[in-house]
Amino acid sequence: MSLDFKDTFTMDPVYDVGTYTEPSWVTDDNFFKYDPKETGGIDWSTIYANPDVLQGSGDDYSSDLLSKGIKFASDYFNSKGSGTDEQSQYFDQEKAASGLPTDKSRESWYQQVSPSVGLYGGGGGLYGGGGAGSMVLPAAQAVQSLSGMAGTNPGMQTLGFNDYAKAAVKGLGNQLVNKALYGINPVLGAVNQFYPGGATEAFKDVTRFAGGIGNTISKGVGGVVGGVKDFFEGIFCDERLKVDIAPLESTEVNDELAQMAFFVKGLRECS
Amino acid sequence: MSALEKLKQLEPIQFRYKEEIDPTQPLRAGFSAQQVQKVIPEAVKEVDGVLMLDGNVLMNYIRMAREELLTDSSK
Repeated sequence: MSLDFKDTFTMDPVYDVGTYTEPSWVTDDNFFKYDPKETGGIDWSTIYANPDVLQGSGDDYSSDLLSKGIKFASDYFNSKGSGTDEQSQYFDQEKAASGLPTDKSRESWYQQVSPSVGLYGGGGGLYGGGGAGSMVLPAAQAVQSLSGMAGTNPGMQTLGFNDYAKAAVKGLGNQLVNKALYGINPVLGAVNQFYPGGATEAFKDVTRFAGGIGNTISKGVGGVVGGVKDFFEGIFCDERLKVDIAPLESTEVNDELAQMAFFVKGLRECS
Repeated sequence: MSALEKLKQLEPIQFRYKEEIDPTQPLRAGFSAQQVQKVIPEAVKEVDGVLMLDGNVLMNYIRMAREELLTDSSK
């Protein structure tokens, strides 16, 4: 079976999602068919039919949104991949354009991008570190969720998750978060910009579809391996970021990490 | 120690991200980076003071464990 990333958004809600169980927060099968006039959401059919409606929302992106987005991200992150501390020549320039300080030694700051997406920088504190820019986790989490879905679209595999996470950790402004998302997929950039609550809210629902795809492809022990070909490199697993930690029994988010956790749980129980 | 044995030493957890990190706080499944680091150090790296799990490394271990399981079952 071959699935395009677009399928994640457009697939029929009654599509065979295998063994996937809906999380408790799923409330409506027609999430992506909402009437924008009633929900304040975006009109997906209009966007797919006419990508130019996005023009201006991502600066210079036009009909070839994805390629330009990827080029921007590639340039921005200097194409160095994960694990380097090198910054793009555009980093300070873009931060300044976003109204963010470029002085790394500055004390902590916080910027509310949307009702559910906030940006943290500097200070250290809760997460330790104390370097330049501590966390942009809500936005980064969104990217993380997307990265998990990237396996369905070869065009999205150009950059690793850590490239985006690194930028998030270093403290991006709203424009840059959007650009990072546009770099992954223009539709996702649009989600972050137009969906009420931003990408984090939208991805709660997207996860349902993504999890369905994952479970359809990967059934059983072997499927966990075979169905996910480009897993992300940086997952926020630091205990200091978590609460309510307990031995695994259940989850409301069925992502690749959850599948691996349940796989290991199965191994332990069978031994 | 085999990949299978190492994986069995991992302790899967359920958790929520802190509210200031994830306001919706759904229950998630995963691992503690600190615990994984003790068993498979190469699967964990530190980024700006935060431990992060490299899913690719963990996935490779799962692949190897699967091969071990298949080999054992074919004997």
